[in-house]
Amino acid sequence: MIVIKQKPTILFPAELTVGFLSDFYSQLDNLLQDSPGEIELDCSALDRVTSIHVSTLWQVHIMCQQASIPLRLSSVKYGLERVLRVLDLYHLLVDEGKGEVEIDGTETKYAASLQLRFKVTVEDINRALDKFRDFLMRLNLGEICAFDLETVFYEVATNIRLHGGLNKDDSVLFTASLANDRISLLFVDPGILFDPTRKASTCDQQQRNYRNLSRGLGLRMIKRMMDDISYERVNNRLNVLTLEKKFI
Amino acid sequence: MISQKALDKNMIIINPGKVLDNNNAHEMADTISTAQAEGYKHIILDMRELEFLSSAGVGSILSAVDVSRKKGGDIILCNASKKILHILEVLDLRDYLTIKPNEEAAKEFCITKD
Repeated sequence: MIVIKQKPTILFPAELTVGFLSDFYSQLDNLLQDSPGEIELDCSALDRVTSIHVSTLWQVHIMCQQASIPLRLSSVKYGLERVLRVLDLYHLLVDEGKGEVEIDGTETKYAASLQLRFKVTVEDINRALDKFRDFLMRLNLGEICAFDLETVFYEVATNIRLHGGLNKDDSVLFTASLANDRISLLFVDPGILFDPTRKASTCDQQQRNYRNLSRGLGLRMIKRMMDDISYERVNNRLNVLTLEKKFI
Repeated sequence: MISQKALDKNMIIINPGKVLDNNNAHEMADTISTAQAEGYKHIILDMRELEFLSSAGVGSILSAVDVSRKKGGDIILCNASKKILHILEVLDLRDYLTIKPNEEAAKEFCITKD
């Protein structure tokens, strides 16, 4: 659907059908023939980005370029930005003097974040995990990468629940934030001191006694699924655990 | 929800359901050990529905493998998804555990082992 204002703005829809695209390009062509100063493409409807969205975006870019009319993207959500960067298209569609990109108001430029506070009950952990899963889905991460992250969330949260000595009223602060090519997970809890970075891994590739492998599986999963782990004890009261993973 | 079905006097198939985590890992361990105590040498774990496997869930399986193998049997995983296989790979368990692509291959393994 094209909304024509003083400064032509095209709403980029979430659903793209063959019939729609045919009309869309035709109307864009008519619009370009009017020689507007620039065309704004409103990407606010794009939550999940598919290859059809990307190829349509590229086609719009080519048509504008051929008409020598700048194309400006607005309300770009992090999922779209990330896909464009992975495909090496971001600098072509956004930079080169074509104007700034307005990032959706809930996310900061090149970053997206989620903050949760949950109690250490099974129900609250599951609720928090569901919210984290929704957040991961919007980021268009690889399937296994997203699975690793939700698994690590569950393992850390459950570890805090089972071994942190927290009361029912205590809560854990969790933040997931993205910057460039990595995602950082932060857990802050008021439990007893536990530094997972100091726990020796019980895994020994040479060791054939697999009985010992039953111990420390959770820590092993966390350490192997993430690229960096750091721990800090703050004010002798708070465990602050930071885990980072590069996008795959 | 964990379910099970005897295939013959030596073989039983257990389905752990969609999730095997800290909430039902004990139940899984009990189910397996009960099957072992009832004389089932071969325990096939059908992972077709399993979407989430925590460390506790892995532990519930691992703790029973030795028991079955000492009795000349085994615990055989089948129909595991890419995500579940990834968990086992992360934990270096792909080579240790007996993993078959489907139920038929798992049954054939059990028969060959006998």
